[in-house]
Amino acid sequence: MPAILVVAVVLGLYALGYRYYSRYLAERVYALDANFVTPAHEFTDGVDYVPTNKHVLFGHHFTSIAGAAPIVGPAIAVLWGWGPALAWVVLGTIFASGAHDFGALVVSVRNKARNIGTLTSTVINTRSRTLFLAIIFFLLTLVNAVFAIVIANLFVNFPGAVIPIFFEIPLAIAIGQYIYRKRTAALVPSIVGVVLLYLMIPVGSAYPISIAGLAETVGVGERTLWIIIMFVYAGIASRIPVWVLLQPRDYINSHQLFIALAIIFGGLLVGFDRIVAPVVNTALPAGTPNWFPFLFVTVACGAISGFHSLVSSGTTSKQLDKETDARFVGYMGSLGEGSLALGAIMATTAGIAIVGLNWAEEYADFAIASSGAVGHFVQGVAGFASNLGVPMALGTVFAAVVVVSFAATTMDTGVRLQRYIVQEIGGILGWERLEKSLLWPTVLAVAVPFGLAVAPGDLAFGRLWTLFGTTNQLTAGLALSVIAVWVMRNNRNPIAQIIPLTFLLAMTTWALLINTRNFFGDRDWLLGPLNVVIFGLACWLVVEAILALVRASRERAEITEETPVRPAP
Amino acid sequence: MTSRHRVVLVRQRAGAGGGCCGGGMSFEEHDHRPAAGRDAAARVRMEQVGELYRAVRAALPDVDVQVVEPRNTAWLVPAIWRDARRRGLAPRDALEQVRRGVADGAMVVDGLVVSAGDVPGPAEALGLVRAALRE
Repeated sequence: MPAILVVAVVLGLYALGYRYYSRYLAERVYALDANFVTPAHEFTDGVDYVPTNKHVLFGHHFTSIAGAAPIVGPAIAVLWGWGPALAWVVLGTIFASGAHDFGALVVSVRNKARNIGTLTSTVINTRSRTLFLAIIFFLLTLVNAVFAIVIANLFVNFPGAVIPIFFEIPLAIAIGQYIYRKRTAALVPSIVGVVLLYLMIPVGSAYPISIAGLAETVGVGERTLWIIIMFVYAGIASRIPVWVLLQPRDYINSHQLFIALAIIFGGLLVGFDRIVAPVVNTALPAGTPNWFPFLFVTVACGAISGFHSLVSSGTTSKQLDKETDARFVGYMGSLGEGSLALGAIMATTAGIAIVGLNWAEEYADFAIASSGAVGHFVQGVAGFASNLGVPMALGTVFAAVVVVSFAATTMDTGVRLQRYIVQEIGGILGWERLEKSLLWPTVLAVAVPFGLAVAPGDLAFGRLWTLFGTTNQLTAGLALSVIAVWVMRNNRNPIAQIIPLTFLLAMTTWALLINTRNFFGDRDWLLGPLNVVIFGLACWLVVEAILALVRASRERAEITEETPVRPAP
Repeated sequence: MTSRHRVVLVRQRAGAGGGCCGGGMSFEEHDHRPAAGRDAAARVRMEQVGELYRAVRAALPDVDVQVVEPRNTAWLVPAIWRDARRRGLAPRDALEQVRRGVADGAMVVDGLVVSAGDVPGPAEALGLVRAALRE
């Protein structure tokens, strides 16, 4: 089937989702009120609370949620065929992610722009705050572990990307220094930065860097050595001010996001390539995880991501000008993320054939599919780039550079945020050394994901990724619970939240149960117990969600009983 | 906002980048240490721009004031270009306004960059805005 046809249909469905479903949510579920005084107006300070044009705010919101994660999950999930992967991305984006991201924004706005962590304690109960912190702790741990592996795999498989990526670090620092010292605009320096970065692509391609020899000398695998290097980097990067490296690289990344999207969809349009993967893969070997429930934890970001609730309720809700703008900003943000996932599916099912790879061999089983997923995406994008006249070898390094740039920034941010979460948990537990120190939280934020990243071995990335997806879905579940309770207390129908919430919790607990059995069966003494802990958190979440919904339902019934029946006019 | 006039204040947030899963979260919400220990400079700058924002809003309530991050080029670049062209600037001059106007700390009045680099004080800024609005 021509890939462009599929893209057109999906984009059409997204348009219908925005036109009709988001309107239903806006009018009937969240009952948006254009006259409601948003926190941006109530607390206007021009610093954190700023009423902002909805198009401006969408730009902030989308660049904050778009990243590497919606690429990896779909690139693995096409193993089950492009049909199930695409169906989950489309349905998840329209019905789950849309309701979730949009809802988190509205509930936060209706509660003085409080973040979702605080809202769990005010809307559900104070105990839930601890649950939230525990889920976020595991989520960030897994984010840092999986992205370290993603980067290491790309460096091993595409050594041409090493020079451009390591060149990008001093380049970003130089841009940051230039902007900071000269008080000048970032646009031109960052565009020059992108050009310089891409000029290093032929250099990297001509001089690929392999550290296999060094790794052998040290006595570890090449991939493990790259993981060590990445965590040393992330530990250092997370301790320096954000304007030095994180923000300037983010400028470069924001340009790269649009360049990559243009290459994927432009290449697809020009090449009129066909999807070579089966709609449903019936040739899977024995032992492959069943797509029910594993598809729904393999693709988290791109279908629904709990992290978006943190963004919606973190910075976006403080800037919403009119409550009615939440529909455009929140729902459209989900559609943007879904479009990235669509691009990843097209690259790994259509683009991959342009470079001459045999899809069936590249997706022979779950282990090969998951360890090679990002590589397949990179090759697919290189294929689309070749449709636009970019030499294949350079296109490959370009795509690897884009993914590593995003993944490295995510790691930098992830380690930084994890340090704060560890400090907060230290405060709750009354451990002063953990709460007040800078060293120990950083050590913990680096050491725990590092242990996870190096322990499972080369072909166990898929296991770690599904655990990450599970935890991300639990975060989404917690946010959906908060939104559902809020909707119910406002005497409206919470079915738009209850259905995705029930579905997500059922899929995640089911996947966790199967994984627990498999991990202990394989004597995996690291992921097995970790899986049990996350399963415990999932059960805790189920209990809290049910209790909160029952309580909200009773409150609603009591209010209805107390309300006198109005006489007919 | 139906105002014909638009003031754009460009400033960088002190928060995170990183995209899904890491971006957009406000570090301040989780970092309870004093500001001096983290992005103090960025925070000071945010507050300077905030002061300016409040001053312009109070003095010119009919003017549309937007605070935009320089990273948000997808909105910022066309907006400055459009405003500059509407003001009657030639394409070359409009391009120059875009180049200067996407700087952290820039103040753009109807497509004209009236200040870039150091953030002016509220009184000075108001004078610059009023002068640009009269042009």
